[in-house]
Amino acid sequence: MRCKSFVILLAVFLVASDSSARDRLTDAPVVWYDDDRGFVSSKPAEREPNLVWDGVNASIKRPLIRATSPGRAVRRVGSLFGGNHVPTASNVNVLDEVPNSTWFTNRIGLYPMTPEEVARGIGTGQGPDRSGVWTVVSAKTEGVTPGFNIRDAKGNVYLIKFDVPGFLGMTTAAGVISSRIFHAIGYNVPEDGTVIFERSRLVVGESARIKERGGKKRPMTAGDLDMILNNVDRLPDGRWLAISSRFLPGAPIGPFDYKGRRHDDPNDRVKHEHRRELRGLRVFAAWLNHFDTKQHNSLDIFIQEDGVSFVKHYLIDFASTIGAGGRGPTPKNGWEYGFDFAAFIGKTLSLGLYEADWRKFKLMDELPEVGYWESRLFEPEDFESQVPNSAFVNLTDRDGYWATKIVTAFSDEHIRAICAAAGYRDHQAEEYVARVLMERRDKIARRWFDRVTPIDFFRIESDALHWRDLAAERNTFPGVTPRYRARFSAVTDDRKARGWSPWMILDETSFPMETPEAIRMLKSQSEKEYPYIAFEVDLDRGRGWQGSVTAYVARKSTRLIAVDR
Amino acid sequence: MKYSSLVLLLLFLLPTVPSAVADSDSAHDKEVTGAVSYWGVIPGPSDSTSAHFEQRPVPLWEKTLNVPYRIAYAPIYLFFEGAKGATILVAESAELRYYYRAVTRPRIGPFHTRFFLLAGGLQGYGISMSSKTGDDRNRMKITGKVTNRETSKATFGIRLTPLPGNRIELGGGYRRRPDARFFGIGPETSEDDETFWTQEIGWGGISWQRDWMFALTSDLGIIYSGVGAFDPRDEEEPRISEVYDRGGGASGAVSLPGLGGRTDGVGYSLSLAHNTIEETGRPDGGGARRIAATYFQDRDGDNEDFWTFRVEAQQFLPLWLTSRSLALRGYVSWIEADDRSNIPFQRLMTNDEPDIIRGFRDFRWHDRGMTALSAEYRWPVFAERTVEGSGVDAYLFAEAGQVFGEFNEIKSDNLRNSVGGGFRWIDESGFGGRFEIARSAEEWVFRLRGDQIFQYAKSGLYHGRNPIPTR
Repeated sequence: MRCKSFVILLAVFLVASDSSARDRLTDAPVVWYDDDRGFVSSKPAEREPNLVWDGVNASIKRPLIRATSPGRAVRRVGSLFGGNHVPTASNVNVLDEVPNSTWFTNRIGLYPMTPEEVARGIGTGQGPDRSGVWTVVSAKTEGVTPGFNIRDAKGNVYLIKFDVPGFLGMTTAAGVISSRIFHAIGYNVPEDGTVIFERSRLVVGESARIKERGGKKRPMTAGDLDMILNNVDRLPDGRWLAISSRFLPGAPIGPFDYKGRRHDDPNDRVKHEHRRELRGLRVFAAWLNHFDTKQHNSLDIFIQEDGVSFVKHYLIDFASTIGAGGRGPTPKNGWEYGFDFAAFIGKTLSLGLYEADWRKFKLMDELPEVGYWESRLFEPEDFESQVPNSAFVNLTDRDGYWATKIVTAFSDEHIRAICAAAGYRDHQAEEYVARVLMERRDKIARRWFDRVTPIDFFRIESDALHWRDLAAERNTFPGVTPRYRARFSAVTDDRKARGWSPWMILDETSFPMETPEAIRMLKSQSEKEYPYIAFEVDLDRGRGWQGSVTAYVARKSTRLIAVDR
Repeated sequence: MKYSSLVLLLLFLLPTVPSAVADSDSAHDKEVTGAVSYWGVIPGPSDSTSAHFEQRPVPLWEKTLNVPYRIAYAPIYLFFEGAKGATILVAESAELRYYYRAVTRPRIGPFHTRFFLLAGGLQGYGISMSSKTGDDRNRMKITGKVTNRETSKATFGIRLTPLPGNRIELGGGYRRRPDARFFGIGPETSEDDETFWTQEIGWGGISWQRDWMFALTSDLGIIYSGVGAFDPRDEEEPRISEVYDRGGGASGAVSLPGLGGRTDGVGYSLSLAHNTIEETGRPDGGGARRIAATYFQDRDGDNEDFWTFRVEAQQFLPLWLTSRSLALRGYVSWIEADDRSNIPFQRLMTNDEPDIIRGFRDFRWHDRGMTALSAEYRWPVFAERTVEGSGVDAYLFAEAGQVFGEFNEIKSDNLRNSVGGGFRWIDESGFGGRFEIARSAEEWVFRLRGDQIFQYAKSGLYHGRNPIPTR
């Protein structure tokens, strides 16, 4: 018993000391750019991870290591007492934001974007040029959905990919929606869009090659093209609907793994499982039911910009989202791993008395363009990708909150504009998909804004400290009138407070600073010894104070230098 | 305004960040141009706003803990490295991939070959295979099985459909089981009386199946069969011939017709079945009822000719939620002959590949008749993609059954019970295999098999089911 207590105490101590070891406060500008575009002299080796081993590795080996790792075990015990089950993400700045990098560019999460901007996505949003024929340069017959690559009149190369037979419009629309959303979030994505074309638009290039089952390549003929086109569904007017994905500029060097680093890329300094944008991807993936987040749906490109060569990291292939699937819609996707050992054991022991929610789902006959897409049973935390993802399992509350801030930045108008750009033939399908996206967004917001106090974006204007209550702004908890309390203290660079002012109860999202009491307190606290001021703000939505967020300001430079939550 | 107020005011009047204008390039993004962020204006990249983000160092306590862990993990690491190499070798070699798929995926290749591992029970470890070719109307099937305990079986079957609703089946096969047991005849034999023998069966025949209205099917067949009962392998003790005699031989030995030789003959069978079960591999509704009669004519005249009758019923009951079902099955089989004592023991009813009272070893019971009731509750525990598609169901079962010499021996005192559970794999082509553990008063038995227990639609010559004992 004593031994057990000692172990728990030790774990709590270790994790507490670990998680409280925040960086010292410094009076410096906020870092908004990860300097990861340093010149890479030689192209990193192309990674070609084996798909089968990747599944085995992600599903068995890595979970086994995580389950048996003593460090994780200690942290897990500590998490019962307020610690985190994993270390804090390594690539966050003092405001707990993700700086721009070759992985991520802050867009809708930090900047207002119009619905049109969001719906346009990357590039022109127009797809292949239609002023001339499209020359087929290569094709593949393997896989559930055959496709080919074309070069348009402007010389741009696009991958043309079709829906799974029997589900016309489902994956193409889903792919476009998710591509637009991931771009607006901040990830690097290819330029995807729906295209409708007739047979006469296509010619087979002289040097076109086709990849047959088994990987063999041979010269491609018009007959091969007709065979591909005959095996996919057509629109009622006889034309073909497909998704076009523009080839990325630069040299592809294979996918990135969600664990570890690419050691031949000197700019890749943070282990991927500890990158916030990859941990937070779990929240976005849950929102969009992007279950197929295996590493093969990512791509690193060795690119040259302004004379500097470096590696840029992309997410690709969003066909398996919004209830659709690359092999056809599958109700299980997003709810369980491909092989979910825990679910298997649980279902076995439950003797069939428990029913997984996904087993109740039905496709809607009246909306054939919509897959297994629903919000009623959706629970953000229950989302599972097809194979366990090393970054997803590291998601902490702060990572989840960061992602939720971005998810909730998508307004109803943004979502409607994106769905309108998806090319649904049935307006009801478009409306339904948009409504479910909104409802899932709201569930995510309720989940994370309830767990992490959504007070954010501190600014100091005039004589008051201002903040934004994201839950109130984005109407996460309708009918609730929040109130706030705030206090302040001068602090040392390791956050030790000289003495806190009394809490001030507020109805507004600002804290008036020019009070006699504040002035008196600060006067008594030496700036040399206490060079920073901490403002602690808390929120009550009628269920008690949720937990404070602290903003730090340097007294000398008057800069906002950190936010702790 | 007081001095201190001025300081404070100054403190807060100043902007939080330098007031450089954000430009699109500096934001590394051309889409969001000139906008002020929710944090205020974000300056462009400079030495002060850019930094190399590095991996946070692992704390000392964690590093310390990891040292012994890594040492202990080394063998597992090596195992996984080996597994990785093997997986990649198989996955990236077109030829190996083909064979891998042939073994693990059902019905691919020119002969739609499928392999299945066998384990447990008396047969030991082995492998079974089945190949079939042809179309829905006319097809051929070959099956085989071999185990480390020298059990072997090979069958072939042809199914022709000359007219809609009419099927002609031709087939034959050979089976050898050197691990057969004999404990005596009757429901009260003791497990201590175990003796060993080798069973050898050969058969061939033809049958005509015709579909009638209301899901009725008749089956008329003629099957030749020969069954030998010989001494077991050397290591099996005691041999059956040490305890029993073919009739009045060794002193003190009990007479056992058929022992030490073959019994050959022809069976003429007629059965009528009503079957509403869908062959999905995971039926949750429908039922099957079947009556059958077979007249066996002994070819040498050494033994009795006899009749075999069988009455069987199965029912699948859908239960709550999805794919939960109760499978029920009951049957009675018995042999009628003028001289019941002269029926070769190797043609008596027995649980040779137990599909009842699965908690007992193969061949545990022998007698003129056999009856059993079985209830199996099934529920899904894994789905590959969809509710109806490939996946694994778990099941629990309870059974009661017995052999009997006379009908009045069917009573609760003689019933033997067995309970157990397992997992059934259902693939794209239906039932794929099962792993189960069963318990009886005598022992635990586990089995890994590729054959069905319920749904005896696959009992015909085409599917290679051996006719001994008559089912």
